[in-house]
Amino acid sequence: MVFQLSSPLLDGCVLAILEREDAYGYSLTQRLRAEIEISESTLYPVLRRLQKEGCLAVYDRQFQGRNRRYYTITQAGRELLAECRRDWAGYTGRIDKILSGGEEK
Amino acid sequence: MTKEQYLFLLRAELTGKMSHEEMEDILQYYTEYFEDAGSEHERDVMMSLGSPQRLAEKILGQPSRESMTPVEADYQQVGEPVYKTGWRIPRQAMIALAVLGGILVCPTVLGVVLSLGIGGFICVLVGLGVTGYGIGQLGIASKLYLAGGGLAAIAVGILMLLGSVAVARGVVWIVRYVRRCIAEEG
Repeated sequence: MVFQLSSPLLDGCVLAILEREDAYGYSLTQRLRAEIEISESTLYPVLRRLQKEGCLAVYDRQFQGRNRRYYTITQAGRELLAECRRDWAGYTGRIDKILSGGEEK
Repeated sequence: MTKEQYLFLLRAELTGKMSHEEMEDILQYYTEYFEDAGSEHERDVMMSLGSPQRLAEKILGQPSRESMTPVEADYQQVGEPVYKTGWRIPRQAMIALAVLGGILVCPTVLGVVLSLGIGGFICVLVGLGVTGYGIGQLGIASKLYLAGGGLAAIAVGILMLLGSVAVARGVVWIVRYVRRCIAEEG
């Protein structure tokens, strides 16, 4: 069964990875793809939008004689991540309740 | 298709549809993406990204969060299936183009190859004859002139022959390249 990932949830996943350590586009995509089915073209618009919203910042670093752009989480990003975690916990709690036949765990 | 071709086509798709700064940001992202994936995964990345047209559509089609209501934002699906075949130009059309191009270009190329080859051959023969005749002359001046002229003709003939071979090889290379492209995209 495939559950579709909504946009805010993907934002949360990206921010959660970046909360642990800064990452560049390819590594970020591969880390997400290891767990969820997203196409390689999904992430750029997400990163760009989060950057515009001030949830993440970028910096460039040299790697093997070429440039590599790293993404790092900002304070606003941490707040959005916290909000996402809260909402997700509430949501999964409610779904769990229904799926388990009405009993609160 | 190489990553350079892919990025070139992507640039063409995005040109005029966004600010220059934004476009450069996208191209930088995907240039680095290809580099980080490594040349051995170039094709996999292209397969997964879909055609440059498709990728451009995805980039251009992404609405910003501000322009969406919260409900829309929640329901916007991003876990789309991975594109396996996003190529706009169907294989048959590519083959038809190649054949049409071949029919138009072949006689010209054949003409160039043959005229250079035959011309070069005649040049070398005449050059040899004139050189031989020149060496047989008694006067030192006529000897030099004729032999020199003959040698020059031989040199020109050899250059023409080499040119003919180069054109023929170039055509073979192009044909192979087109065939590989068709095979890859098919």
